[in-house]
Order: sequence, then C-alpha cells, then structure tokens
Amino acid sequence: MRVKKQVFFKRGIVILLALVSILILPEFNHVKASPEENRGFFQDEIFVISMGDSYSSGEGLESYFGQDAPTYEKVENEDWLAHRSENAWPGKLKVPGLSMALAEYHNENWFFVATSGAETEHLYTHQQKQVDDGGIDDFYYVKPQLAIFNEIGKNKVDYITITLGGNNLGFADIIKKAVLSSPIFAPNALSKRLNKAWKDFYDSNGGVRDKLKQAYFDISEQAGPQAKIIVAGYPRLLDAEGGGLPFRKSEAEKINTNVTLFNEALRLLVSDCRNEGMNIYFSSVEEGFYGHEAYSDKPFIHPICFVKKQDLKGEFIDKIVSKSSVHPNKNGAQKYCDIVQTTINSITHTEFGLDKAVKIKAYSKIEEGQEFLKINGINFEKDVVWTKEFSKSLLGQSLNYYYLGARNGYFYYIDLDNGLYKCRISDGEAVWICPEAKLIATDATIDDSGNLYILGFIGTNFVMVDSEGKIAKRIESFSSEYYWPSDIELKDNELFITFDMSPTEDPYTLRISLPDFEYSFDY
Amino acid sequence: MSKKIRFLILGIILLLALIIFVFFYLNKLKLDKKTAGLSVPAINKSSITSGSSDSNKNTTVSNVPDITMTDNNDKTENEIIDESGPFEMLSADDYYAQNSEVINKIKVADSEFIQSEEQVHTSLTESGFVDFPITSEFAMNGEFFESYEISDSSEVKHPIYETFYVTESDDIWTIMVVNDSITALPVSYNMESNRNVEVIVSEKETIFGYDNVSNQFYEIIPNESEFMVIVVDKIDAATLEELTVEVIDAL
Repeated sequence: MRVKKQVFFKRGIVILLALVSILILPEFNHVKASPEENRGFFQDEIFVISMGDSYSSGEGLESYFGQDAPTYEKVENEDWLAHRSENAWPGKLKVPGLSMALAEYHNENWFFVATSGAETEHLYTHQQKQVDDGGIDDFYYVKPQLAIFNEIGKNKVDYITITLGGNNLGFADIIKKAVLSSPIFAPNALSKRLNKAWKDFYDSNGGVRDKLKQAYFDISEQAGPQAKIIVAGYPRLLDAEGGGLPFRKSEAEKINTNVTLFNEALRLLVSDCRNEGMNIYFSSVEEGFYGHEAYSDKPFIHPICFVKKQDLKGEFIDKIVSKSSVHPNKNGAQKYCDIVQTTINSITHTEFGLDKAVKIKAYSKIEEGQEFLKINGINFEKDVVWTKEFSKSLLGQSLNYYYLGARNGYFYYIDLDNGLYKCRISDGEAVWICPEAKLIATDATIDDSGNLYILGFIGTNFVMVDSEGKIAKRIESFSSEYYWPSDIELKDNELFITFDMSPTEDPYTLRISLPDFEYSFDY
Repeated sequence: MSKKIRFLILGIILLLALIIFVFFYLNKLKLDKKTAGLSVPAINKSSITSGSSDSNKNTTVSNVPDITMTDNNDKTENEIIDESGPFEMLSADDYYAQNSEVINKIKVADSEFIQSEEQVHTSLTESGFVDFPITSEFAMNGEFFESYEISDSSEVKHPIYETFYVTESDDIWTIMVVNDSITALPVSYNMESNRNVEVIVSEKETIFGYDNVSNQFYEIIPNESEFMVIVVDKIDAATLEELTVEVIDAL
C-alpha cells in the first residue's frame, strides 16, 4: 500500500512538472513572441592581448590608465606603472567579432599588458619600476606579461599585437646619447654603438634574435594555434633632410637605417617563425611614417624632450631626456593603428574571405503554436553568408530546437528529432551529431577543451558531451528531491548546478567535482 | 615509318640530350669555381639578407640597403680587432679634414697625458660635476664596450670620458674629457639656438677628438662654419652656471 502511494505520488509529481514545464519552458530559452536575437547559453568570446614595449603601451601619450588617481593609489595600478596610455594604438584597433574599438572592452575582451621599457625577459619576469612621484620614492613591480594567460586561460586568444626587441638592443639610449654628444669628439661612436647592438642581436650564444624567437614561440604556445600574433615594426624616427641639430644629417641617416635594418630582421624572423608553423604576421609601419619623422614638418614622432624629473626613474640618462622622446605622438598612434588594422583585415580576408562567416547571429520566436529558429552566419563585412532555418509545430508545448551557443569557431544546437549538432561557423556545416543528447535544454556551458555540459529540464537532467561528440557522462536525475535544474556554471574544475526546486522549495546550488563527478546534497 | 628511320630519330634525340647535359655540367663547374673562394662574414649575413618565402607580402620593407661587412684583413696594428657590423667606420682623417683644421694627431699609445679613472673622477668631482655618473665606452686599445661608470680609485685609463651637468636653470651640459682636454657641450642651448652652429666650450683654442678605429687623438680647431668654440679659463660647475642662454647668445 505504501509502495502504491509512493508510485502515485511520483507520477503526480511528473504530471505536475510536465504541466508547469508547458507554462514556463519558453522562458528558459529566452524565446519571445516576436523574433529577437537568441544569444544561447554561451557566446563565442573574442580575446585580444596587446603586449610588448613602450611603442605599444603608448609612452608619451598621456593620460595613462589610472593617472588621475592619488599617487598612493596609482602606484598599485600596473597600468599606470607600465605607462599604458588611454590613447595607445592597440586600443584603437577593431577586430572581427567586436563591434567597437578594443579600448571599449578593456579587461573584458582586450587585455593591455604592454609596458614601457619592456625587454624580452619581461615576458617572464617582473619588471621593476621606481616611482618618484607625489612624495613616494620606492620600487614597484609590473607582472610578467605572459602571466595574462593565467587569467584568460590557454588557447582562448584570437589576436595578439606586440612590439618588442628595441629595448633589448638599447636603441632608445643610443639615440639619446647621440643627441647628448657631438661627433666632433668621437666620429665613429654612434656606428660603434649600433654595430655593438647588432652583434648582440645575432650573438649565437643567446642573442636578442634568439630571445625574440623564443618569446614569439612562448606567446604562441600560451595563446594557442588559433591566435594570430601580429608583430608590429618600428617607425623611422628622424627627419634626415633637416640637417640641423640635435641630429646631424649623417647621424639621422644612420639611426633611420638602423630602424630599417631592425624591421627587416624582425620581418625575416617572423617569416622563419611562420615557416615553422606559427600563426604569426609582421606589420611594417615604416612606410607609413615616411615624411612624418621627428623634426619633420608634420611629425608623427615626438622630438627629443629634456626633463628635470620624471614620475618613473630609469637609467641616469632618463634624468635628462624624457621617456616620451622619439615615441609616436597622437597622429603617430593613429598611423600605427591604421597600419596594424590593415594587417588584421588582410589576415581576416585571407583566412575567411567574404564567403566565410566569422560569427553567427541566432533569432527565435514562437507564433501560433509554431516555433521558429534562424541562425545566420555573418562575414567580417557584416553580411549574411549562410542561413539555417528551423520551423516546426511545438512538441506538445515544449520546443524542438535549442540553440546552445558558439565558441572557438563552432556553434551548437539541439534538434530533438536528431540530437546535438556541432557546426562550423565558417560555413554552417555540421562537424558531428550526437544523437544521444536530445535534451530539453535549460542551460549549457563549454570548457576550454570543447567539452559541453548541458542541463535538461525534464527527462535527462544532465549530459557531458566531449569535443568529439561522444557522451562522456549522463545523469538522468540528480535526486528525486532536487529538480528543475536551470543554471550551470563551470569554475576551476567544478560544476555548479542550480535547481529551482529543493526540499525547502528554495533554489539550491549543487557543487560537482570534475572529472569524477562527485557530489552530495547537504540535507 | 621504317625501323631504320625510327632508330635514326631516336639517335638524334639522345645526341641532343647528351649535348644539353654536357653544356649544363660545364657551366655548373664554372659557377662552383667562382663561388669557391668566397669567405664567410663575421655576422651571419644570411640570416639578415636571405629570405625565406614570406606569406605577408604587403608588409615588406622597401629600400633596405644591403648590409656590408667590414673586412678585417687590411687592418694596421693600431686598429681594433672587430669592426664588423652593418655600419661602416668612417675615415677620421676625412671627417676632421672636412670639419676642422687638424693641428696634431697623437696615437693613444704615445700620449703622455691620458688620465686614469681615479684622476678624472677627482678632477670632475672637484669641478662640481657630481650629479651624474662619469662613464666611458672605449678601452686604451680602442675596443668599444658597454658604457660603464668609472671607479674613483682605479688606475685604469681610457682615451675618452663623459658626464653630464644640469644647471639651476635646467640647462643641460655634456662634459667630455678627451686625452687631457676638458670640453663642455651646451646640449639644450644647441638644440634651441638659431645660430646654426654647434657651440663648444673649451679651456683652449684647440679641442681634442678621438677616433677609435685608428686609436688616435686629433687636436683640432673646428670649422667656424659649423662650430663656435667659446674659450673659458676653467670648465667647472660655477662657469657653466654663468653661461646661461642669454650670456652665450651675447657672445
């Protein structure tokens, strides 16, 4: 008798759940009567990192991030310590998948870790900054630039921009020394300094060339093969036609030739790296700055500036010559941006062309007992290049199609007739179908390896589908007392699943340890 | 076609192939002979100029001059060992002939007046140049090294020393000690002045320059068309404080 009662009770619960689900299911997939964008449960996130030295950080283009804060606050702000400018060229770039300039996505999709004075070693080690500002005279440290991958995660970055290597060779100091001296005292000193730098570059025992190559390799390793690394070159700095002080014509020509040689060396290095399989590109800015060097009529480069004191101490020469000297000014930053933007567009053209989609937009609606789901593939010119449309009478009152989301070039949806689909964003074609994953999906998430975790409202409560489309874990029901799973979150190798109903009738969040799927309800 | 004609045609084709092969083989031998005597540059030039295929053709650098390596075989005994690099050393004789009247040339090894680090340190600090390190980049044999701060107690000598001085009115000066001669360069004045000549302050009418390639000093009188030498009794901090922009302009 007791058993019969229990069976009756359970059946009652199931019927009740079904009735309630009829009323509330559409809400779970955010479907409204009028067609509107259906963003799914997870989005294809775009990540961009801008790394490197002062030519990327925007030295000399105040304001720096955090500059307006009191000194005791800004010394704790790495953006200020690194002299990362609000006007720096990387922040002006646009990339496919993000509609506004990168600066609008600061610390969300765009991570700005370029640091004034950075050398290759500062990708791996802390960079020391000595503050001399607002009564504070002390040492502070900027994190290693590669540490950003600990925050974002591996294999998730889409674009990386970088300028690096000039500080390893001391080019800035060579230029400053040239302006502080005269060839009349040592006519070959400048050539000697430059030649010494080139010896350091090609030194077979850990030269700068090898350090740069290792740096590109390590960035590529952390960022993943999908990340496009754009190495920007350096501009020619001085107007060689001026002929006057502070640089004599012969000095200006040598300094400019040196920049050209360095750019050529970088271009060949990047080319070597590409031949070895890296997804890396070189963007030469040199031509764009012709006629706009420092001391020209329309300069894109700051001239040499002398200072009595700077907010950050450096070498003794920094007590005399401003760090902003011979760095791009506002127009120079825009020119840098235009050139690197052209490279990004060119890469996108080459990789995708206009006939391939770079992102998708899904729309859904329910009208007169009919559901409608439309998924559009959009190219980088924002044109629709392919469309998938689904339309069907509602399955009872629940949906037939669930758009789950997009990640890393693929999108996912469930068709209750056929199963879970993984499709390429580029052409909309299916990569695999998992027929065992026909869930009435209420939420889903995806990890860095492409494993999907999907919640089902009624019927199967949970499945994990691996990146190959195989069921890795299925849980029909977590508990008879905890039901209506509505929210799933993945954090630090743990799943957090929220049930709308629990014995207390309050929402309850269950923690599940991965990969063993160990969990227990606290009664 | 008869068998004889077929054999004849085949024979002609084989003969032509043999002639072509011999022709190319002889040419290759000639080329190998030509390239056999080339030497390997000190710096790996191939890594600078040899290009592997580059997929990003829009971003090539134009007007890249070929990098010439200095051959060290013709050096005199005074010249330093390693001059290799993309930037050729210019002839100091030519440079000073164009920019000055050369009074005297003194080989570093023959100079009796070169001061030690300790002597220069004492002399410059006594003159009030204490805010910036005193540095040198050249050894007595002309070898160039990373700029380093000299010691106040070392007997080591260098042909040329350098330090800086910033006046109360924020004027920047570079102080050079070459051989036994001290000169001062008003850097900020020279940058901002409309004189179109470079001002040099000296304790004598002549100044000294140093060429590391030939490793010798040049005692010169700079051309008036390009330089203006202001002679003072003593170059020290007090003197430079007095030589304001207005004072130099008035000279």
